[in-house]
Amino acid sequence: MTTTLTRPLPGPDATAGRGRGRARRLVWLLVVLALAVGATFGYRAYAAHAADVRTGTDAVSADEFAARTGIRVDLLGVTAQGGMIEFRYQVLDPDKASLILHDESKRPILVAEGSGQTLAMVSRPHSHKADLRAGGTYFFLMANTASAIHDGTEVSVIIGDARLEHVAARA
Amino acid sequence: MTSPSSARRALRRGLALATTALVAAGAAVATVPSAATAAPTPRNGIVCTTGGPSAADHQPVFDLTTRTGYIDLPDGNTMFMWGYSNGFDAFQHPGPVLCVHEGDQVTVILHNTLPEASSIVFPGQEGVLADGVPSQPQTDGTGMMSSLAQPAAAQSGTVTYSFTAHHAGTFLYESGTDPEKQVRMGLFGALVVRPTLGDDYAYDSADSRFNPSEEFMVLLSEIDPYQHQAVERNKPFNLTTYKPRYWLINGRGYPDSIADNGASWLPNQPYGSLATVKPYQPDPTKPGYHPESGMARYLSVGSEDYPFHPHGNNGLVVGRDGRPMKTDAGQDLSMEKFAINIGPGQTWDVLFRWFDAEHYSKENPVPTTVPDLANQVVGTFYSGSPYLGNKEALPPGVESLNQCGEYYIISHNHALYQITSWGVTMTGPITYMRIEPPEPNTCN
Repeated sequence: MTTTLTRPLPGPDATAGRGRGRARRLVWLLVVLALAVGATFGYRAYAAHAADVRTGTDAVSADEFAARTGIRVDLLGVTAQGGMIEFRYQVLDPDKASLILHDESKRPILVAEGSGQTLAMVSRPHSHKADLRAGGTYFFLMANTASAIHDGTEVSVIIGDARLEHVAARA
Repeated sequence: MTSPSSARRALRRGLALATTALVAAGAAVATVPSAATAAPTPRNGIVCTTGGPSAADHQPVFDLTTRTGYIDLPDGNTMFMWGYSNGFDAFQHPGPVLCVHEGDQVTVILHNTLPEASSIVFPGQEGVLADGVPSQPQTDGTGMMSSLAQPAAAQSGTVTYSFTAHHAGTFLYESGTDPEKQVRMGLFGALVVRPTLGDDYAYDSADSRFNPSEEFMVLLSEIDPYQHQAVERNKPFNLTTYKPRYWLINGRGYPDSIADNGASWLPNQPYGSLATVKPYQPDPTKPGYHPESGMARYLSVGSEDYPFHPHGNNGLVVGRDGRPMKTDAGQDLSMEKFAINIGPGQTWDVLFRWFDAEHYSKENPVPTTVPDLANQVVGTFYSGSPYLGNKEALPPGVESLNQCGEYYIISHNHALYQITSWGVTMTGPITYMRIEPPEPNTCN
């Protein structure tokens, strides 16, 4: 195939051809753009869905939550001038409750139901010397990151695959 | 998964909106004229009871009523208590903080509803009268002392105590009748006498100035639950078996101690002990100008010394037992202390400053080593560190580990067996100092 440094003269149908080409390019552009937008929104929706720690957990009653986790949630207290959340709980089953201390996947996670803001602990809060006793009351302190939870905020408490909803925080 | 950068962008947008809303709300609130009522309870710091309208004429009058009720303890127990309530209010513990001014003619009317006689003594005050005559020890028919002051009879008795508050400082008031029982049961409170120089001074000396927004009370007490159980059941209690199992600050054990004043889940324990301070910065040409000290008022009604230890900063002791640390000739006897070893019945007035040695900011959190697992205990901090802001992986969508860039330091009784609640560790006489981030910030 030879190359030319000059543009060939247009034929009789060149204008129509250029029009059809532009239209085709425009259609392709729109298709690609639509795919890109769709993919972006789809990815964002998927990402948001994947980032929601509530996904894959079961909303359960307080009794079922206690049966699964071994604890009863006594208090979500907005404390330290709003800087921390006190997660106070009573141990009903020490064996199950001990997993909260020692199993990373069982650390309590709080989700503010209105905003979706999530509070989680990033490191282990307890010692293996912890001696949880049936009936005993214990607590975690969690940072109230960016003031996610206020007095009256309804919170979902997640431990493992169990989710206790509509727990009202108090100040 | 959402990228950290987009999450941060979203969070920044949210914070910007929230900040705008807060500024707008603040502006709206600021334009509302304040009602001619008592000042609202501060979220933390000392909650003063000021003695009614006559306080403006330097003649504050306080009605204190003995009540019985229950308090909540960190291990989930409740405890039967006695206490002084303000006016004729329901039970509270401890008694109201009586705030007066030097030279005030103070009147305290005791209304006794208990099943036994009770009185009030005012250690450190001079010339106290009871129903117009000198308040003094009372004896029974056998010559045995029955009370350190004239008591109000059981069930419905009343006694009016009066004195002139001659000395600025921090004082206790407490039962003078069967104190080994009645004080232990909770009949005590704090009396703060402001100096003539101004409410932002501890004493009548320029070097005792502090920022009123950083004034805090640390009222230390203890409970033997068996004594309280015996009183509740109207049974005798053998004091030779007395052994505290609970230790409290301002009537609360940690973590309740760091909850706000008037926390809803502590209806009978109104006083928190969280200290909030700003970094000391005496240069007006630099950001964050904050040239004043904070002020901590320590009091103890315990039965032994409490070596109270504010981590991370020492304090300047400017007063003891309601007297300034100065000689009669005015020589300065103040001293820097890292631990406040407060004895039974003592009060200590301590000025403190927090120096930002590490130039802390939300972007530059103080790096800390999270303690070894073996050194962590139930009820410890959310991250195992006394400092919020360790540099670890953050949860999705989280820009910082704390509320708004603030910073916490623990303060606690260093008799470590006492930072328990009947054996539950890391509870009891523990509180925090909260260092606020530079302004403007997103704290609310």
